[in-house]
Amino acid sequence: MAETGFSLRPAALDQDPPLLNFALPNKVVDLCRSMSLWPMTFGLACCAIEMMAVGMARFDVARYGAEVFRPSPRQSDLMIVAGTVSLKMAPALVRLYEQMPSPKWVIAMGNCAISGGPFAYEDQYAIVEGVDKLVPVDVFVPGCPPRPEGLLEGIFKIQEKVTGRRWWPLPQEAAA
Amino acid sequence: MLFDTQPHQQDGDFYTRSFQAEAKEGNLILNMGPQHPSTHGVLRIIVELEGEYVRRAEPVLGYIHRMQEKMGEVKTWQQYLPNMGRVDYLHALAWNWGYVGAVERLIGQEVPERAEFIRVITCELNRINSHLLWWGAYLLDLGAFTPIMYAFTDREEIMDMLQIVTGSRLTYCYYRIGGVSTDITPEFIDQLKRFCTHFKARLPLFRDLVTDNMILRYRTEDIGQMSLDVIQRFGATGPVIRGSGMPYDVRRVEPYSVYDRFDFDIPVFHETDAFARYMVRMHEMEQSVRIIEQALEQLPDGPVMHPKAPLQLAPPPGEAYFSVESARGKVGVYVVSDGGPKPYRVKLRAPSFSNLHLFAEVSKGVLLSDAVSILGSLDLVIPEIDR
Amino acid sequence: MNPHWLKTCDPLSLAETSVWGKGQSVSVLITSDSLLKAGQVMKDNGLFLDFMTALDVQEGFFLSYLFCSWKAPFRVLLRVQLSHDKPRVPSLAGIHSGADWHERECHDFFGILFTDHPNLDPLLLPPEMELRPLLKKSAQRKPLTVIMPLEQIVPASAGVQDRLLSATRTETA
Ligand code: SF4
Repeated sequence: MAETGFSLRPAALDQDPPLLNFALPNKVVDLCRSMSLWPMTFGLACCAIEMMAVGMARFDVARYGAEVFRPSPRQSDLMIVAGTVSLKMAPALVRLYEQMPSPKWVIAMGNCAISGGPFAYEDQYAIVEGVDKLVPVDVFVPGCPPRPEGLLEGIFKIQEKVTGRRWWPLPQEAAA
Repeated sequence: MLFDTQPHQQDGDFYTRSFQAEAKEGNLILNMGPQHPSTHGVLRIIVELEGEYVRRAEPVLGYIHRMQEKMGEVKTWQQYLPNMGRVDYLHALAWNWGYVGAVERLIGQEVPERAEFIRVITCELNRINSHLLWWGAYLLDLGAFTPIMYAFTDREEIMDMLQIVTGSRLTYCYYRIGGVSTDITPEFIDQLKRFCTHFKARLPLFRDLVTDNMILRYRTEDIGQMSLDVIQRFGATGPVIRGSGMPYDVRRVEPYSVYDRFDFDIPVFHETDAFARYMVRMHEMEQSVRIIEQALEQLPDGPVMHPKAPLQLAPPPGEAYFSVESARGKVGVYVVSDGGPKPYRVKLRAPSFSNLHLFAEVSKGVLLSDAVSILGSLDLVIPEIDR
Repeated sequence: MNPHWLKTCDPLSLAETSVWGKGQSVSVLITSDSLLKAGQVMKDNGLFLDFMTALDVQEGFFLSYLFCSWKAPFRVLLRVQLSHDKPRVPSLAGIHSGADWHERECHDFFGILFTDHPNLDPLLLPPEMELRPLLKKSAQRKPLTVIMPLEQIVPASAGVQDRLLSATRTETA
């Protein structure tokens, strides 16, 4: 990366402690959370269009409870970073992440969000090569752009991470 | 003390501060974006509000600046091509065409006739796709959620078809210097013919569902009027200028490829408001279907790639420019070669860039909610503006 | 019609090129002093500013302004050459409002100063950034004569210029 004289601040990582700390209620709450994820509409570029497609009739993410896209960080618990994060955008991304209430998860959708994708080359001067430099990422969904099925799988992975088990059959199991 | 009454000198960033410096006492400064549901991506607009009225607005760009012009100087001529699908991902094939067209002009490369027809077919199909997304998203801005569901149902079908020939859903890299990468299949042609018939029946449905809807009319008619004179000063193109009574379309004014062989109209409306721009796009979809049908009929046989098309490129020194009509207006690609394997300079002329520039001018004195309607009626794709 | 009115923008030289598309394209080399006047001439003759950009070459910056007609495949290219150490040129934003952002972008990328520009704040780059990304390293800079065939800027034969400027209609060869 070219020398730009620009410094970035990664997000603060402290999460609020849970209100209740008993194992069984927490398990139930986690299950509820994972089946009703509220993603934040963080569409940045091309990948955002595929993120929209996920919400529409054919792929219908509502089947998995994650269709309530919120424009406000305060109402969401899943940030899908869909697209290229530029240096100019980075402070806003960090701030929005910090404004989300805990617990919160992040999906890095697309090669740009993972590593800079096609825009990471020697001498590049304007993008962040991977959002994991700024915020902790839970699931990476590769592709340029990833197919909507890819993003759905990413959401399944988040559900798996939250509850500790996979809820939906794999394609080969479903076919059998 | 509960409230801090000291003015905060350091509030806001660079742009807010310089915008604030000229604000009238007592007016509210509001930042829309860079992450805002109605700015379609990462556009930021600073507005000065007097009550509900916008006094002044200034777009702030660059939140998705992806160095596409710099990249041109780093990659080789062929390596740069896939990037064109990412400049304007809604009408990716127009940018594909702009770039291969410019390089073909630079090296004097001929394109087989069948390839030209395939380019027309796929490019028009992509145009419909882009307008559909605009239609859905615009109505979403205006508060109607259902239309986007309808739009995406058709979009998915188009994407399925384009996937057969191009191999991807969104960021196509299908045209090559000297032709297109693969021939279209009979399966694709069948599906496309069926789609054309089906889509012609869908358009009246859209009209009944939305266009004649009173709420849409209230939100768009007489909103965002742009006189032709202003538009010309800013060099805006595409549906924006055609909604103000000027039949400017690159396909007509500077015909490229085989567009002069088809019979199609350039929809023009004279009302200059957001509704006129809406109507232009709705009619354009119809015309695109017409072009596709004619092109399918006249589709010649032959190769889709020129046999002498170069794989390794080192064009002779010089410059070339190629312009294409995209869904948003005039796309232009300007390339300069120094005779080496990499371009010396690539300049992308993006239609949304000029179209957005208008916004500051026309949003003066309108209601904030109308500003959203105006913004949507410009049909912006932000990565194309920031490049 | 021959664009004989191009005379009025004090051209240093005129040439016809085909690399800009079908129809007629005329490349007009002018000095930065006559840019404002030339911009006004373009406006009076109903051309709009398509885009403007710069090229970083050994001799300095080579600016190209492309003006297109709304009605016919006809375009005029204004070319201005600037030196590296004092890249200053008057802004066209007062005449063609669209020039405003194009010039701002050019200022971002190359550091060219547009005098009397309404607002030269960084457009695409973060305001804190010092870098001028599209400036070439001096080793990579090529002379203009290498990258631009001469006939695209100066007329190939003496007749071309006279023909373009003559008020009567002549057949293009
Ligand atoms: S990963 Fe590819 S499709 Fe996604 S934002 Fe980046 S360039 Fe666009």
